[in-house]
Amino acid sequence: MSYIEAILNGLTLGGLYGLFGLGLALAFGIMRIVNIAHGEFVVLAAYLGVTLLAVTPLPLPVVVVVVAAAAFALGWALQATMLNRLLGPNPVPAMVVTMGLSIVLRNVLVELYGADIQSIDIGPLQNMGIGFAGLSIGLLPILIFVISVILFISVNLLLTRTTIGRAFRAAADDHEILETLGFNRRRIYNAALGLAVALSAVAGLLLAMRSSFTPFSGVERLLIAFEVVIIGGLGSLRGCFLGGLFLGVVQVLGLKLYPNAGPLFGHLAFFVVLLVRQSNLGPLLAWGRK
Amino acid sequence: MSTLLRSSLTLPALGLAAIAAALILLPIDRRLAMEVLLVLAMAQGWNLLCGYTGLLSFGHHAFVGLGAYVLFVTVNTTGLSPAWSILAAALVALVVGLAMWALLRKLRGPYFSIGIWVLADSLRLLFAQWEWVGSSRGIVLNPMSIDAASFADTVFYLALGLALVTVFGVFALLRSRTGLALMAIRDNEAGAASVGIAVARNQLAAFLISAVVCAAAGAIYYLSVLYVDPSGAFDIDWQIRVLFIVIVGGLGSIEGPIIGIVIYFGLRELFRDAGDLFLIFQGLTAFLVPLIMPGGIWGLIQSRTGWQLFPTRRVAQ
Repeated sequence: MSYIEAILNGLTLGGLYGLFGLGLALAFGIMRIVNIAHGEFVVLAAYLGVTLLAVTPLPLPVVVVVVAAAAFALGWALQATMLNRLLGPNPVPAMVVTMGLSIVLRNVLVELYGADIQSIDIGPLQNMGIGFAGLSIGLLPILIFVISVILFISVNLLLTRTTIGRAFRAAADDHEILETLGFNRRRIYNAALGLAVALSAVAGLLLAMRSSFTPFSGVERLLIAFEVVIIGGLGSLRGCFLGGLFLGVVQVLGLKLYPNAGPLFGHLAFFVVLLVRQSNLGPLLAWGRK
Repeated sequence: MSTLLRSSLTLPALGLAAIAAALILLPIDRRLAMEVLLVLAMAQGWNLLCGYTGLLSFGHHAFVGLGAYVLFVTVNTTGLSPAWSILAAALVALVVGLAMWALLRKLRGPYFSIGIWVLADSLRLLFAQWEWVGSSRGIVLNPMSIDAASFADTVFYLALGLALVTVFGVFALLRSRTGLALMAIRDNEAGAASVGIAVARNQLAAFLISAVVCAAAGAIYYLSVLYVDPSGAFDIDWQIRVLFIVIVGGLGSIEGPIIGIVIYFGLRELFRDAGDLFLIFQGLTAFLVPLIMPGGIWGLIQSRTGWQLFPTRRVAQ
């Protein structure tokens, strides 16, 4: 695999990482809630996908839609029953609650499926590839990348063109004004967490088609999402997308250089960005942020 | 002018002395007692940071693993006795803590929590790659460095010493001027800053203390098992355990972690044969406590009775 192929692979992976980050950033931007169970939801979606494909005759695209709908319902329910009770300036209670939830989900998955490595078999598409200019790249990664770009564009349209999307942004800026306009803040929040979890779930399911996973993959996914948000700068869709691409490329290149230490390179890149932000170079390099 | 209740110092001192005497004299399982004492020290250290300065850390397992590795490397390469090597572990934790602070100092709230988690994960990956420390295979302690006959007692007394020093140290600190500043930060960070308390400096002090305590506890724990590997020493489970204990017992008090520790180890012994069920239960409790009992068990007791076993509250005169 040449370096150019590695970079292309990293970019296609990065689209998914961007979606992970987008889910986390939506929840934080709108509700000021950091969902520590974010990574577990991502993994849960993969397990749900595996199960649906194994026990039902549903075709893959339908499974993706079903998983997204289930994830939306789960996010809605979590916000409505638990997290809405913990709103406020102190982020600690919501973090502890979602931390507890992540432990429960992780260990329930171990109980149900065992701790073995799983993967999703999607048939002949797995091995198809296209070649051009001497490079070959899998059809599946390209397809997944296209889907993630479409999702990013859809979220952008949702946030700028629809009432609920504008309500999301208004809730992020000033929830009191939002309520004076007749919106129910809590229902907006429910929908926002539903959307955040659904986006991450779709990304998790797509990632599961590319690489394997275990019940313990959630932590890694959460840290990726977090790094994407910090690298990309909070509060910008474009930042999430670019942050995801950057992290994807760094990981795949790192993996190519040192086969055992891919995630470590992601972390290192994250800290380099953090240091640059703190130094005086920050303002120069902080393009694309608000 | 405000003052502390001096008269009530005897009760906590006598209580701790009685517990220490009971642990030494009674025919208990010293292995379990050692683990309880070490986790108690970690919980008190973590609580000093999170309960008092509002910095919720999800990455203190970094210091547990770091302390363990420094002890093993120091003993195996320099021949220093294990007990003295704990000081080396504490010193390295201090230096690494300072370096981490330099990276994280601009991050607050959730960013700090997950930022330090990423650091802990980086350390785990780094030690798993680092050939000099045995990469993912880990290190075995040089058997020549310990005296097999007295070893079990040695680690028990080290753990007891660390736990007592930590509980008394945190207690003394909270009764001092610094403690007053920490409690002011706990109650209202912006308000504390507005009356001239150096919030960041106090947060750094609490962070370094918690780092050193967790490193020393990690060093003693892995000393007792004679073997350290990256996936165990840098396991997030250390952090989860401490989080559970402090949250259930009550954040921001000395009594809280003590209650939490009794509950944690009590439940663990009860669920001993149930495997993953205990972990699920642990998560479920951490999940429910902030919803139904925000101050933890001690917070509930205190709001009902006003008791304080370790008097750190000041009374206006």
